[in-house]
Amino acid sequence: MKITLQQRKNKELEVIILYPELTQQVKEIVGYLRTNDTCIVVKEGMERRLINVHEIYYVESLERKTFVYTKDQVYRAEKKLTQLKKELAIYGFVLVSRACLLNLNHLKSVESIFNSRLEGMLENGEKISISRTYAYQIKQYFEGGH
Amino acid sequence: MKERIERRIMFTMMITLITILWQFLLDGITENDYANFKIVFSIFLFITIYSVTERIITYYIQFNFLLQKVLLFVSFMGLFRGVGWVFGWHMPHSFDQWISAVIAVVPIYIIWYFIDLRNARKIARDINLQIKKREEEQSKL
Repeated sequence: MKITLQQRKNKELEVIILYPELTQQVKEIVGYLRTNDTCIVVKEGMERRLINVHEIYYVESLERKTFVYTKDQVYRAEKKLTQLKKELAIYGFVLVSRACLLNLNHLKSVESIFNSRLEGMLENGEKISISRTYAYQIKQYFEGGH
Repeated sequence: MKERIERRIMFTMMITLITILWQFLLDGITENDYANFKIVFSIFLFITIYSVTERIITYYIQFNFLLQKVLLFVSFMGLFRGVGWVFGWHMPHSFDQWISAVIAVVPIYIIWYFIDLRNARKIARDINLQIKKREEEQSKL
C-alpha cells in the first residue's frame, strides 16, 4: 500500500482512498477514519458530553442502563445497547455476550477459560468475558465475513 | 434467549405435527401407531423441555460452573423421570438403579466437556492469530 501525504494550507482535511477493489482492508481503513470523526452522546453526572467512538473500549448493558467504558472512565449512554450495536457495527464493535458490545480495535488477545468460555484482554489490561456463541462472530469479523 | 426457546418449541411442535400428519396419511391411527406416536412425541417433548431448561439455567447461573452442571443433571434426570411417568416408561426407581444411571451419564459429561474445551481453545487461537496479523499490518503502516 502506497501512502502519499500532501500539505494544502488553509484547506479542510481530506482523505482520498484509491483502491483497485473494495476489499476488507479498504473497509477497515474507511471504518478507522470514520471513528476519528464520529462521536456519541454520553452522560457524566448531570452533564452531557461527546466522546469519540475510537475512545470507547466497550459498551455494557446493566439493569436496563447502558454504560460506555473508555480507557479509564465510565459514562452512561443515552441510547440502548441494541441501538448502539447497529450504529457502531461499522466501527468494529461486535457483541461478545448478551449485554456487552466490544470494540475489537482495542482487543489485545483472547484465551479460553474454565467452563469453555473465552476471556478477552483489552489494551488497558481489563478482561472481558466472551460468550462462545459470539466468539464465532469475532472470528468471522477478523476473517472479513461481517 | 427468548428467540432460541421459541425456535426450539416451534421445532418440536412442527415435528409433532408432521408425525401426526404422517400417521394420518398412512392408514389412520391404529393402536400400534398411537403407541409409536407417543414415543416420538415424548422424545421430542423431552428434548424441548431439557434444552429450554438448559438455556434458562445457563442464562441465570452461568457464573458457577459446578452449580450449573449439577442443576443441569438434576433437571435432566427429573424431567426424564417426569416424562417417563406420564408416558409409562420403565424408569430407574431404586437407589442402585439411579446410581447406575448417574455413572452412565457422567462419562458423557466429561467427554463433552473436553471436546467443548478443545473447541474453545481452537477459537481463541484463531482469533489471536487474526489479532496478531492485524497488528503486523498496522505496524507496516
